[in-house]
Amino acid sequence: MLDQLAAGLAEIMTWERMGFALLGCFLGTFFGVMPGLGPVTAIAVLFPITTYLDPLSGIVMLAAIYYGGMYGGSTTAILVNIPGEVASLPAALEGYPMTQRGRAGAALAVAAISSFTAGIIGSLGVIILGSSVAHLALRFGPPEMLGLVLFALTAVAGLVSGSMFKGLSMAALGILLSMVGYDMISGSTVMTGGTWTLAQGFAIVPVMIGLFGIGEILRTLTTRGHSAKSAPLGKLMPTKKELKDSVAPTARGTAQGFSFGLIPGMLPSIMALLSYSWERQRAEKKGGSQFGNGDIRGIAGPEAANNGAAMGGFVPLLSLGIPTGPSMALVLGALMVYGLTPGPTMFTQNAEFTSGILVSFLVANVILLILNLPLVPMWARLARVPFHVMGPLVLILCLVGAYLDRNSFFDIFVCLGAGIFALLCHKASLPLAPLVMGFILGPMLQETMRQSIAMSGTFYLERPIFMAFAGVAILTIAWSIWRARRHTTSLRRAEASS
Amino acid sequence: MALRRIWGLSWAELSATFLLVIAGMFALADGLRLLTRGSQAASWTATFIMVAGVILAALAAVSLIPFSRKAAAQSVGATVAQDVLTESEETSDTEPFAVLDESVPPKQAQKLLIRSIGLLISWIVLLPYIGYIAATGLFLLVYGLLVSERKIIPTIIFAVISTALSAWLFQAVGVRLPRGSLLP
Repeated sequence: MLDQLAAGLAEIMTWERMGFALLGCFLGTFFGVMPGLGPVTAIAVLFPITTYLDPLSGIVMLAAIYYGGMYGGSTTAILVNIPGEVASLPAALEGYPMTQRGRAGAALAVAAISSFTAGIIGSLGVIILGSSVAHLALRFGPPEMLGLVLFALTAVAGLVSGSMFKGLSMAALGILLSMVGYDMISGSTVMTGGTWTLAQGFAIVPVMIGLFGIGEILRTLTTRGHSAKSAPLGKLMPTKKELKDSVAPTARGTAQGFSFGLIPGMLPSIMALLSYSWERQRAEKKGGSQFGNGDIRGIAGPEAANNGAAMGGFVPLLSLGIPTGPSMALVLGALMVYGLTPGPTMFTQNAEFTSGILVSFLVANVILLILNLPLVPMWARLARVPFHVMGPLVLILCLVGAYLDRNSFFDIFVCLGAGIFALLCHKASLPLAPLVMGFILGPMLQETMRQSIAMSGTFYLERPIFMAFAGVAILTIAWSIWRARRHTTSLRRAEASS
Repeated sequence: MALRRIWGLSWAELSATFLLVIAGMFALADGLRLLTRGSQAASWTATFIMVAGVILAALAAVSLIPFSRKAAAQSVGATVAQDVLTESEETSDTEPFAVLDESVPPKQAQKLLIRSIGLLISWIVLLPYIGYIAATGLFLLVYGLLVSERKIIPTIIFAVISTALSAWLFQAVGVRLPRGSLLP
């Protein structure tokens, strides 16, 4: 393992790549600081620029953008009480009261240290577990991969959306969109309506930027501007007690985040909230809870869980080629644009490159820790700039990003169309995550299904691993429907009692 | 209209579902076309898209009817977030945070949205003719004045600096942007 890390470090440690990592951290934090935008939008908007670099430099910059985006969200939550995204909710709930007490610096430092710790441990976890899973996955045939894809689609549809019907219909739409263009086997045009323009198909980049960039930005632009108050930063160094109190929540958050992050649909934001809830319950049981009024444990645990889950998601992504949510789907899309195919071979044939990717996570975390704390006053000022000032420029960056992929004006229109559709989906409570998963996994689903049926007409009875994955997928659907029914019943009871 | 009234659906729900059903039917029709007119090799793809199309149309339609709407809850993330906020409200002395969900009045939001999309389409149309720098500078200027309703001098300064900075950033990473066919 140490050999792998050393090889990766040797690949990364050049002035040029360090410069890209620094730029990535800066740009990622810039996006994360803006209310309403988070790491997913940051990756969606900026990753086309990284495709102009060599693959490893691109990945280094992308990792830095992702972590910068996550850190930026916590910064605005702690300093100006604006949780720009769900994952930053705990940071606002516990961090802002600390800011009011003049302990903003300590809250930010603990958030950064917890994220950093989870990032380091998570990276080591990916190296250890990813390699083992990849070697196991080498024995997987098309039926097993088909089972895995079906499980990933149903898990994301069930966990991320409230309605299984809506989730699965969006996944089906994603699958169909991925098929528009020329069919690889027969050469026939599929769902093009006879037009040449559609025959080139929908590329990943403009669709992703449209859904997570344009859609989010247009939505944020049409919301009321906030009035953020300035707050003193206070000392950056946490006290000994604060540090001591945050050790155990950081360890727990890292373990919980990483292990749950391996499951498709368990997004980092969900893990941050669950960790907050668990830490709160634990503190209340023990007594002396300050939760709700600036408890450092409520920052350390969720921040670690958030980063741990993000790292956990890299295990199925790199070893099996299965993303666990929208951000991992974007990373998968980026790797494919770089000409890499995530899967077991990433740890066998491309081991050095994969080590480089994993070390780039460590480097990004270190740079963020060093770079962002001194820059906190600047980020705080930026967070107070109304979004309608920066928003239009970000919109243009999105459209340029869509254009850069294939130098195609058609892609710019696809990007804008996807953005408007994302806005409509938000109003109609239709989840985007299953759509993205369907779009990314659609070709794999079709290919593995075709190969499995060619192998045997009754493959589903002959392959126990496929049966296990299919069984879990059915259980996920059943659980999702049961959860929804329970929710409706409890609402009815509440109405009746009131 | 009747569906909206009877089932209490919003325009967005109805139009998004309508789009999904249309997409499903389109896939079904294209699958039939491939099956009847395409080569033997295309029959697998045809069957696949027909099945996916039927699933899409059926699930989207079913998601509207009251039975399935009863079998819908919030997402896991939203449920946990709500629990966290409810618990926090009971114990916290701090003022509630500034949420972004304080929507502007619907008419104003609609106006903002239409103007934003209109300006974006104008930018796309102008890009091949006047190039990135002129199109972006113009877009930011008009956006600042018409949509954000800011003062003219700061808007001009912001438009010039942001366009120059973004063009420099793209050039720094080796990106070639359209220069405009109408410009020398």
